[in-house]
Amino acid sequence: MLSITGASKRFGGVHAVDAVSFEVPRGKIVALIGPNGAGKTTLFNLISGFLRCDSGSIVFESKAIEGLPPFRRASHGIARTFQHVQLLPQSSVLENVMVGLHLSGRAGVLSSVLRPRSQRDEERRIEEAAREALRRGGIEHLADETPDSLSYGMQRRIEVARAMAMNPKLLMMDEPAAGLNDGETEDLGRLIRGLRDTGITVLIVEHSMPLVMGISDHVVVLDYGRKIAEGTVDEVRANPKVIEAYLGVEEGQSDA
Amino acid sequence: MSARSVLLERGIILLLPVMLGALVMNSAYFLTLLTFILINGAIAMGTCFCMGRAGQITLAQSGFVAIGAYVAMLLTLRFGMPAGIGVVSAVIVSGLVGFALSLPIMKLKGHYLGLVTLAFSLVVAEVATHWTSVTNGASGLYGIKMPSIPFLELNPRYEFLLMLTVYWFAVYVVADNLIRSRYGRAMQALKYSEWGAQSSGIDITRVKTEVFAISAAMMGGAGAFYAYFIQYIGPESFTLELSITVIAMCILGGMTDIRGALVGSALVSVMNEPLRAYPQVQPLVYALIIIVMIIFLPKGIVPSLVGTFANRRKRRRLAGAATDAT
Repeated sequence: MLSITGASKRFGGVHAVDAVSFEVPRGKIVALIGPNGAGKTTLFNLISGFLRCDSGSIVFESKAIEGLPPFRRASHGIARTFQHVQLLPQSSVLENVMVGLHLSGRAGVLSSVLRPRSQRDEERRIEEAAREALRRGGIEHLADETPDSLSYGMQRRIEVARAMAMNPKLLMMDEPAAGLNDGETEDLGRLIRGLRDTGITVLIVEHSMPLVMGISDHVVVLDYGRKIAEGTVDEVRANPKVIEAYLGVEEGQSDA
Repeated sequence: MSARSVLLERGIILLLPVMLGALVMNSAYFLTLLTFILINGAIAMGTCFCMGRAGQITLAQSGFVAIGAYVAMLLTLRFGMPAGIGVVSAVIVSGLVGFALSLPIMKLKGHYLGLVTLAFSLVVAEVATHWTSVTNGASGLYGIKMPSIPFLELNPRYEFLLMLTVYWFAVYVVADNLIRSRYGRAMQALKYSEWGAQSSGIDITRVKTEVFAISAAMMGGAGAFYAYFIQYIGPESFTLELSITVIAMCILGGMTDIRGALVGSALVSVMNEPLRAYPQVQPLVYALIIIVMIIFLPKGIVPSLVGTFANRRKRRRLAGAATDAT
């Protein structure tokens, strides 16, 4: 569904992402892991369009999306959440999720000012869909709260609900478990598996190994901007390069 | 908010200047004060719309007001156009200039945006001073009559106030409708999280451009009314002080609520009256308003009141739920 071929991004002399290629198959949960500074978030931003590749290609559903701005990639069905939540802190949770339904509306300046029936119907439809997204995310009771009065875990769930309201084909989550406690992380894992079971493809960057190992169908490992391994959870776990990247090696053993 | 309470609120807002004006029908002084409250109110609404709701800092108020004023004045003075055409043209031309200004400054944010828009205001004043063949330079333009409503034999200042009220109310409805819609949500997303907005499919470049153009148009129309009311405009009519006064109004009333612009413009305009004899004190007073508000009521009057009411209602609801449970 998504294929990345030879994606590279340099910042000055640093190869943040260096000729990385991998595939995200439809209907699977793919995890992108690696030590701090491995280039995971950079790669994420290349895919969602907040950064542009220096070279390489990104193809989504057989369309080349490299070169499109982020909002166009969103309209192709790519939704994402952020490592640091990007919500409207003082708008209601309902309105936050309604932002995610931007693409399912069409009203521009003129029809928003004049409010013809079509615009009012559209607003009603968007609100209904947002409430439905909150219900599916299990947070409908928070509809009238504002994110700045809620816990970090809840804010993440709002972001997920907003992304899900877009009815995406691919959901990208950047460290969704960061700052969550164990219970919240388990809930999150259940939530993500539930999403996959409804047919959504998930690409996730994550540090929490219990989460990654618990839910992923496929794991891609980055280190210093390069892909060093990929495979199933068990394959990756047994791969000596991965162990080396995470734990380091004793001197004299590095040739092994 | 239900459709009914929105209608009620708008009815009250529309009637306020009409009624107040009727009460002071025979006082040129109070009618003038009301007129200035509404002109400032329209500029302040444009400011709240751009800064408070979409997060785009602007000090371009005096520039856009000046453009609107000159366009209207020139059309009437040189081509004998009626005031209606003057106002509409002022709105359109200011809007277009706002659009053009937004293109090169698209990538700027925060203080940088403030500086460039400030520079824009200064450039407009320079052009007004030196483009003598059109603007008559520092001597300014004069020689039109205050427009009035045909077949109505009221105090001409009251008639003018009625026409201005129509414009002022239209600005309010346009801003309020945009804020309460898909468009308003996109503006809020732009303000709080450009990344979040883009990942939700919002074309933030387009929203920024449009917001700038719309707020410029609102300010330009206010400039046209200023020109028709004072019947004289010159470069010194539109100094940076205007931008700063209007921002003080928005901060006092509440930047994030369009009604804050209405409250703030009324309070500051009234407060201004005793100070008119001491022009050198005015900037001090605005500075004081801004500092005191930022320390004690950073959200401004209207959002703070709205917040207090919302909290009280929530507490009552929770208390109600608790008694139901027992």
